[in-house]
Amino acid sequence: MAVTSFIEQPVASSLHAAYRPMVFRAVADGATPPPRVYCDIYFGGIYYRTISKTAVATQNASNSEWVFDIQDATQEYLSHYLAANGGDDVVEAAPPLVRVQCKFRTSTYNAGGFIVQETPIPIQATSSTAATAGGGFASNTFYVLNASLKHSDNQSLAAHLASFKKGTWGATNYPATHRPNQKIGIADSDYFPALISDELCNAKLVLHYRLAGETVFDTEEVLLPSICSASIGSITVSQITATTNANVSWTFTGSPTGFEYRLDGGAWLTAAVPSATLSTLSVGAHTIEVRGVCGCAYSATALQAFDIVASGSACSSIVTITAITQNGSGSASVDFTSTGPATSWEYAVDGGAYTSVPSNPFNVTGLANGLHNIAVRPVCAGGAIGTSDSDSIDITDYTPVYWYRVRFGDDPCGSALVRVYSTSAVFGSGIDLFTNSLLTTPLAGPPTSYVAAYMGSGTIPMIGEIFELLTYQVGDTTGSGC
Amino acid sequence: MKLIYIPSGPKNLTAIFPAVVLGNAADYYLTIKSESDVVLATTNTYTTKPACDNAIRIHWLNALGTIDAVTLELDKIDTDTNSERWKKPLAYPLAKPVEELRRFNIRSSDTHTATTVEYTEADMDWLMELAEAPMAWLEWKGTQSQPDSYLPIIVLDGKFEKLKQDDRYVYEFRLQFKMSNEKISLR
Repeated sequence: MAVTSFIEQPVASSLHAAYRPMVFRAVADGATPPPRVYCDIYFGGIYYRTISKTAVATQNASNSEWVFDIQDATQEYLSHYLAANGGDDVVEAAPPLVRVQCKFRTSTYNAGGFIVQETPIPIQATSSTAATAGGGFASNTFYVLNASLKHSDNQSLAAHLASFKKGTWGATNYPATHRPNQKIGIADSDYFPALISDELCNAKLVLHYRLAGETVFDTEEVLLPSICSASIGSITVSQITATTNANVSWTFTGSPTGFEYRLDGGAWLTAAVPSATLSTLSVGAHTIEVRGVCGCAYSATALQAFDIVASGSACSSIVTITAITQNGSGSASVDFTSTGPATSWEYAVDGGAYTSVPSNPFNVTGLANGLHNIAVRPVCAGGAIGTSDSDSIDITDYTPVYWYRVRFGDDPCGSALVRVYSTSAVFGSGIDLFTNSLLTTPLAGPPTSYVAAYMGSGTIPMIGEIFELLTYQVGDTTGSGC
Repeated sequence: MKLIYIPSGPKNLTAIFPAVVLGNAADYYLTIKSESDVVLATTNTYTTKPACDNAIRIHWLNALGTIDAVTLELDKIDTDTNSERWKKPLAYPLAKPVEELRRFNIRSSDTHTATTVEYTEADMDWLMELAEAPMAWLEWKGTQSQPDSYLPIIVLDGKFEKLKQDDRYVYEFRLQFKMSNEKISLR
């Protein structure tokens, strides 16, 4: 039931206006349509967001057709660029123009009736982590300009812009403006925006000028500096377990056509994607440099130092499990400390295979009732294993041992601002589930009853330790009610 | 494909082509040429004019998501002020400099009116992009040791003459705008 072809999609390398439809008609195999189809949108090669649909456009005998329009996403992504007043450089403006590609994924129902997405699922970037690309059937790559077209305009942006060319232009280069010839003050700043497909390698800027009283144009020309607005962000290097190889990846901005990297100041090597594997490295300190490639120009270079340790060398780290507590039905939270140079940690349940620890503390789920042993071990660079620790927990039925019911005021039109404190209680019935936390955002709502259930052991909390009424607003009961 | 901004104003070109002095009434345009001298792009043609004291230059976000600019003559600036009054009780005996009424929440804004008559009926579609611009900036010459920059403005709604029967050889484009950032007054 995967997407395998397109009936309609933007032409490869074509130019589009953000404020008009950009339609994909994707075909998913199978007589039974997938429950949901996902369109993952990538801007400049970086995953941005997903739109999905459950409604089939056309159901055929052996496949289904799904229609997506991504113009909303491009409109929210694209911005503008204001060049410096009086600047003397030809500058590349990335935000108003972006390279776009979509990947389409489908889904299935699992045994429980839930929708399971086709993997790998892309992950959005955060302030501290780069976006992770996903899988799926890829569309053509094309370009979107932050532009609108009038109803009377040629709806092909390239054809529309071509009609505004004055003088000589390359076939696939276009003016990005409707401006006419104009008068300009001799102290005025201005820039002419142009969409250029050709590489500007050793290109020249030529001034054609005709002073007052002259009849012919003179020319002056200067060599343009290379333009590459891409920049490399953070570089991450991780030694591959039990080897002296390392995986390196980096974040970037802009629209580079590729990347180059070099180890310890050696020869530059090319990479089409923002990652590479360094093989058979010597033990000790190294540096890696990465730069973006924009045709014949390069971005500024980013440098990262890292160490390679001998594969299989001892790992002096020691893990100590500080607490394992049941925090749900069949679920336990594991908290641990670790000493030494460990770079990652792994855990195993009941002597099973070790799995990467995602965070500290971390949750172990899917535990049946009964006694379980959980082991955590440190892993150093090079794959050496340190000293592990293990502890046991008795998983039981997770049922409330004490119930609370609280109501603020009798006014049916009033509203209460309630702060909920939680020590080891679990709250339900109209309130989200909270454990071991003090809500920083008070709950607002009508003075309906709130219900809480205490799930912990030891001293049962007083009701005043759970709920606190911050403000109470009497409602307006006049008129037809609230 | 990339979107580039080619510096094309006389102010930009002075540093790039120091040997060329673009005096009044000079015509010029720019081209980008490849390494093998193939012309890749050509700008519009500019005609220079004197830098008048009351000339202003407005840059705006056009319908293609890029920046266009036009030089206008600044006709006038009107300042509107609005405020509320606060009345406070007076102590006895009355002190001479102590006031009873005071203004607060004072709002003041300048409405700039600027015009140009240098564009024809055929250019009105392009100038309407300024009238419809969501964002615009006033070219600003740096003062108090600050570098030249732009000040954001808000183009005011209005009625613009795009086609007329009389005097079709002269189109007066009149634009009103306010500064985008509010003045902050003392309390």
